[in-house]
Amino acid sequence: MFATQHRGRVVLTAAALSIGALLLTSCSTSGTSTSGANPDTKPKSADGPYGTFTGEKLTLSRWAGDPWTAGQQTAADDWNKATGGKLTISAVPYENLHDKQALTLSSGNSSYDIMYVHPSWFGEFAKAGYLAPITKDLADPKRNPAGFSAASYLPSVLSQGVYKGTQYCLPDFVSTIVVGYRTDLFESAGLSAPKTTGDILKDAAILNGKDGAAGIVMPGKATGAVADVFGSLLTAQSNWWYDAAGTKDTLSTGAATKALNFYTQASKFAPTGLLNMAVDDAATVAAQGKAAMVVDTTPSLSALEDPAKSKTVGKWAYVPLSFTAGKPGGELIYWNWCIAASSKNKDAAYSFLQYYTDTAQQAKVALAASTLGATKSFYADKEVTSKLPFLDAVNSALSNANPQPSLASWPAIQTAIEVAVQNSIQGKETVAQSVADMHTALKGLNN
Amino acid sequence: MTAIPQPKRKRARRDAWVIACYVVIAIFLVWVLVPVITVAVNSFKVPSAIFTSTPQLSFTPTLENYAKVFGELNFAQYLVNSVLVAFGSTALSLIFGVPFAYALARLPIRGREWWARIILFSRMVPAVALVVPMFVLFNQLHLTGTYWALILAHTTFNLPIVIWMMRSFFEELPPELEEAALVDGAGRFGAFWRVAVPLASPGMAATAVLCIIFSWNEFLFALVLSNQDTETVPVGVSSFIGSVSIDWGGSSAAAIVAIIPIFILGFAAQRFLVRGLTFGGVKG
Amino acid sequence: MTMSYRSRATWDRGGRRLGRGMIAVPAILLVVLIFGPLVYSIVLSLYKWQITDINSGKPFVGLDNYVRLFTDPQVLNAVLNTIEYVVGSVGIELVLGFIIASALFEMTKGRKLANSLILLPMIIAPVITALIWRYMLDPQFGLVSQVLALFGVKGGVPFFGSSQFALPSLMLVDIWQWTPFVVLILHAGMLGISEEQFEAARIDGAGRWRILRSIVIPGIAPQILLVLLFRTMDTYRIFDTVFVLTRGGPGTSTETIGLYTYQTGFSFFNLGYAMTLSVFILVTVAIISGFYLRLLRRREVFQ
Repeated sequence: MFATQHRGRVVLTAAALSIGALLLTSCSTSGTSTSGANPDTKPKSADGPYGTFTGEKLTLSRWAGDPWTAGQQTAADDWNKATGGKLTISAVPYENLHDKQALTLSSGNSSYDIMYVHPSWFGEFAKAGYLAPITKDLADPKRNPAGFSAASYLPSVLSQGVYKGTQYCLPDFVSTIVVGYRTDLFESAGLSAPKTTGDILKDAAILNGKDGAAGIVMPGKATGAVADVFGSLLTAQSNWWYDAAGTKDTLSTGAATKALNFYTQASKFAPTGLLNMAVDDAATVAAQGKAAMVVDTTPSLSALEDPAKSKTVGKWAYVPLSFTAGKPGGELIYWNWCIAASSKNKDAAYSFLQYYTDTAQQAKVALAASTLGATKSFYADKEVTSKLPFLDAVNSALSNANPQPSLASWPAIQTAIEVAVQNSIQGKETVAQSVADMHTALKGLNN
Repeated sequence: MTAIPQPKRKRARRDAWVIACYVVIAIFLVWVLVPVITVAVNSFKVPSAIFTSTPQLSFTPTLENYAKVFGELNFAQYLVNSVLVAFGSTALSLIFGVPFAYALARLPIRGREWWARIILFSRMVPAVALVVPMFVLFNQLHLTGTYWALILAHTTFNLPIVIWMMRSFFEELPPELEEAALVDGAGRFGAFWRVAVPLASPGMAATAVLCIIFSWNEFLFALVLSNQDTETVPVGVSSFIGSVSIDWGGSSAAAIVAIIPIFILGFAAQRFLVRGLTFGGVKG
Repeated sequence: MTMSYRSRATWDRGGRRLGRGMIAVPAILLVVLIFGPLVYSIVLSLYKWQITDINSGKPFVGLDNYVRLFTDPQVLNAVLNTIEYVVGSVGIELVLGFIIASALFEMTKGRKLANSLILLPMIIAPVITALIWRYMLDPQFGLVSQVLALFGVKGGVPFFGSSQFALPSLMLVDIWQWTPFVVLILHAGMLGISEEQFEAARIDGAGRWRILRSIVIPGIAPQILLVLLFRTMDTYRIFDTVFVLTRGGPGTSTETIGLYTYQTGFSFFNLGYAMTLSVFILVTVAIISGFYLRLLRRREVFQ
């Protein structure tokens, strides 16, 4: 009897102890040492990173996906070697990135130092005070290469990382939506390069079904890309979803109707299953020779020129989207890299960002993933730009650009817009009804 | 069923029937296995051999995809994390669940059926409802991003499974054995610890395997409560399925790497799988 | 086994004490890990908590979120899709599972091997299942399209890319993954029917269909109810495969209540409303399960 009670207590005590042990082990999270750090050390090699950060551990939060994650990992490895720091990349699926970052940052003891902050939640994070300003670092001659400053970036892109007059982020990965067309198919059908959306529809109708290829392919799945394409179609007509303050619906019913007519008409010449195609699916279809034209984001189009993924390398030419010949436009897609306000290694974080977004590293990214840097000197690097087949198309599209929406209320609106486009493509709604849906969705701007 | 002697004519009809049954099972097995085999085959292909319009059976196999999965994607780390979390939460669930189950099965406690209902109810709570509050809680305890966060989170679904399964295993034991232990001078705890637990250990092993399977496959908690050092296999695989890039070969290889250990375990616990998946058959 | 009155009483008293001890610690764990967070969720459902404004506080809105729940056309659409999904998949799984289980029951050789292979789909993580089927049903390069092309169906079928096919295609994935579960359980039920019953029926000259109707089906009724209970509970909450494969599209044709909840909380950052939706899911699941459990208990399977 006593033995029983005694044993029962032993079990309880053991249980209590093990819970206590759980708590204890978890409390001893590692602190970061800042010994051996000097942010002002000159680079050991040309184009190398600034500073030495021996023993500093940094974490970078981003979405998962290659070649981009792998490319950044290489840059991080080089940075680690040069500075003595240890930067590791935490990549999660894009669709979970916001939640992961928001929850982690809200906890106050976040482990993140550098974050990829998407435009649609940049405003939220900046407002909440999760981001560290970088204005001072950007102006510090000891931490930047000679002549490097805020003025080294394309102003229209750099300004996207500004919140209430303070610079928080450094951009890279400039891209937009362009049209790719198969020169071989166009030639054999006696067609010239498509200059307007009207040409695209006409050519798609002619080429549809020839050589086992559909007329055209573009993203149709509601993952954000449909809204990007639609935004580009609006921009090409000098229209945009909302005003500068981001509170008023400025969508022109006329422009939206023309854009939606194009999307809906084009889908008739698209391969089966368009409405479940994300950017990568559309690019894969085109790369495998199953479409004569493709409307897609430029990073995805890199698949067309990659011999490992494409059966049609070298057969593509690119033009911007335009409704009227000579008046192209496109949505400015870019990435913002920001430093967490709670980071204990802000100097090291800046060192990596400067290193990563500057021309030398961006040239490597560009060649691996066909995106463009955000520095002016990037575009002067003929060796790189000559290898980017759609550079001209991107440049002329971005001569008339609207940046990707960066409003906290945008994700819900975007989903509603994409559903409206899908409904029109499926013939579930008329174009007019779908445009009306978009206006309804834009009422959410004030939420 | 087939052992009963039957007249010849009937037997002929019976044989036809049995053959039909074998055919049905064969078709079903094809349907079950072909998708997995396809992905396994794709994992040995280069992209150009995957993207074809007709099934491509002859191709030069490559280990490139696996090299990538274990190389730059560091899948070994995901596997280690998954093993730690699965074993940790299974151990924790057994430590706390087995005594609870024994109490429900054998001991004179009040509200036995209420406990049973509460456990079943806890199986119905959607993970979405738990994950955010749990994040807030673990943050305050500075647990987020540690293995313990995932172990405790996975205990939320493993503990009820342990309780249900072990209860049914304990109930199957003849009570006389434990009563004999009392006569031999053991207390109630002695009867539990020295008689019931050893007798129920095959059931305990089966339960453990099931818990490991559930933990191995769990995604939402693993995603939200982990950090880059503690992410588990499903989180690793999911990074292939984002909307931004597609890598059929690499993701197929990752899927196969994730399936193999769990398939081996599933084989081992096959006999008990039914009981575990139905919460001990809600007694059956 | 005989026991003196005295020792019996000691035995019981010790049992009560030990029982309390054995229940207390796991019960605390359950409260901390499940019921605590659950209560917190229910409290959150009374607030407007937009996670995009994490610092701006959470205004208390009372039952506003619940009013929205019952007037939200997307909830209605999602619930209808979910019901179609649940009834369709569970129904087909049950019928198919019954056929396969019966066939398995007739097998004499290789039954064990077949059993082991059949279980494969249900031990695969949902994320991986979705990945497998994304590849199988790809309209251009998927195996199904490739095979259809051999039979002259060119251009592929838009499995996930059209409103008519998307929900049935998702059900197909569920059926692939969970029919094995139904097979295993019904087969176990059939093995539990006593041999004498079959023999008696055969002596009476009952035919195959008679045996099926009057012995097998009543014999496995508890297992059928169990399958219904667990499959309904799980399909009703489905979101992971849907999220990966269609994201609710095209349009909102595959938006399920589980997916809508997940997106409200995690894509649109409206945690207050997401918690309201999860409370809705929990309550409806509990009601449906309660109904099944009652049927089960009436059959004296559930104590």
